[in-house]
Amino acid sequence: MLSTKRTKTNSNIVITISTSSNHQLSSSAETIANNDDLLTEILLCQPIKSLLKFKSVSKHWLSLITSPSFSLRRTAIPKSISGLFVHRLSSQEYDFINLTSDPSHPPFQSHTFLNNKAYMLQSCNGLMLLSSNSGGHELPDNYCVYNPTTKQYTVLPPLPVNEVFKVIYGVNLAYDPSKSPHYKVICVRTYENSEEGVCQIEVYSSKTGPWRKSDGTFAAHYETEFGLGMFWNGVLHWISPWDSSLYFDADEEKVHEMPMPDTLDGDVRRRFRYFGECRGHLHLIEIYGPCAALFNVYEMERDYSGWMVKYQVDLLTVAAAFPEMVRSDPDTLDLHYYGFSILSIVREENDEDSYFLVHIPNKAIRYNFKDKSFKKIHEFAPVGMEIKVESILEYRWCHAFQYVETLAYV
Amino acid sequence: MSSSIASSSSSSSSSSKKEKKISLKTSDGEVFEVEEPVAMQLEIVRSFFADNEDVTEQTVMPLPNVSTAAMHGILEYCRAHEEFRRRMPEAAPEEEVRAFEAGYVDRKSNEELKEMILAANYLNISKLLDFLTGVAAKRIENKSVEYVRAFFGVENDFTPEEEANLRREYEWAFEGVDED
Repeated sequence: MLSTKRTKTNSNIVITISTSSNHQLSSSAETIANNDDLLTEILLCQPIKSLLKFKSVSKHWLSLITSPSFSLRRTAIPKSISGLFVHRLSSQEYDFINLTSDPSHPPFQSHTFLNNKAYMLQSCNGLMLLSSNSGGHELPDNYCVYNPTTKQYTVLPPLPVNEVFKVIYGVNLAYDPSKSPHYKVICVRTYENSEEGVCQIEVYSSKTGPWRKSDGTFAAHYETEFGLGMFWNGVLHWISPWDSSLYFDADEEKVHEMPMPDTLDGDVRRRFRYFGECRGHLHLIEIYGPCAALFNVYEMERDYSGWMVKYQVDLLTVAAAFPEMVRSDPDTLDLHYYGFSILSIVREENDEDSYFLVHIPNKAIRYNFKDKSFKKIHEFAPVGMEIKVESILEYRWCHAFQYVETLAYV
Repeated sequence: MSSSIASSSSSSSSSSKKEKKISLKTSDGEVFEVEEPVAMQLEIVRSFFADNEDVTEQTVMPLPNVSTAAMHGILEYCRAHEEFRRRMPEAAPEEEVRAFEAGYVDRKSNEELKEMILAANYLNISKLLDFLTGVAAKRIENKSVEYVRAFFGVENDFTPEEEANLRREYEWAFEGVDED
């Protein structure tokens, strides 16, 4: 009904829908628009997508929406995961799985910085840590923190040369908008051929600037997943298939041992199938059998007293509906008899709606923990190359990156 | 109003006063006689009576920023909420409240809505203001930039190049816009 054309006839049409006079009509509209408190209240209720669109309303709206104080208030409103970026093994491309009911295109398909293709290392409360390499193993990777919603990014200063701790085990992002608008990036380094696994940590803070060595060193098994750190509870967590899993408190800068669930046999290598954070919960899935389709989802207690069984999952019904996930191997007790991987656990405001995404050959299935219902929500484009049917799982949990809309300033 | 319920429930304390009324005068000169518990939801009225010892029941409080039309809308909302509170003092019947609010706001045009936001802001009724700003937000969220400019009477002060750049930067945000 309303129109921007400022001809006399069009504005008369507007008036007929109102009981007010023309003068009052424009004055109440303009009074709201000139009252930043009221306008802010209205804009805070907007989805991020609408806010990005409304940046083009006027210069005043643009400055209001991009102001740090607005982004801080908007970021404090909890939000759910709107999609997943998954890194395709065969082609090194990213697929986007939309998790909202609103059909939308991926906001991000590929990104380059410093003229090189960027790879996702981690997603943390809406921000992403990317790396790129200008080529050659001699040259160190570059890192950048990227907001895929606003497309704004900051390239981090290069890691300082360290003659002793030359090897980079992993770089991780620590960002919690409910605690601070600033983020930290944590790099774990070790010696070349370090038998003892002695590690050192360097920290970059968006608040205070350059890379800085954290005091002291610590020991870790060389298979500890330092590249797959999970930030939860203000702390970075690293799991290890052997020995101790660890966590690092970025404020006190201390490494602690994280308790892990019992394995059935103490000497066995841990079989991680999922490790991730969502909505303030840290989740872990390990599968040991006897049937790989039956397993528990663990959640860490906030005081680190241990992992509790949060959900019990039975994927046999899924296997019955999608027989392509059953492999031809005659041994039904084999852990690879069912071909699936877990891409992401998604906790919803109401826990009855919480679900996880399971990847089976060519598809992503959404499985509700509470009522055990499931449905196909995504079909992956066929793989470009000839590979064995048995191994067409293209993604594992470590290749899935949550997309959470945020206005956070990087 | 349902006077029989009111008098029986409040018989202990205020039987001598009957139902106290407060007089409020809108910008166009109309005087509203408003039941005290309803009027006290208007923070500006509550503090006026709390801070001024010399005001009496006969005092007519002027509200120069509120039109008669807006006042009708405000009182409809506040009376309904007072009724909910009277019936269920512990916790409001959430579903009923939601049903009332949905019906209440459906009948308001955009112009009425905007006028009421300003009135609720001036009268300092935070609950109503939160509700109305949420409604205004819903009404614009899927609309075009042009619609929103017209809605708020905002002048586009970007150059065509600046505007085109912003649109290009957030192209995906412009998909799926509802018709005006």
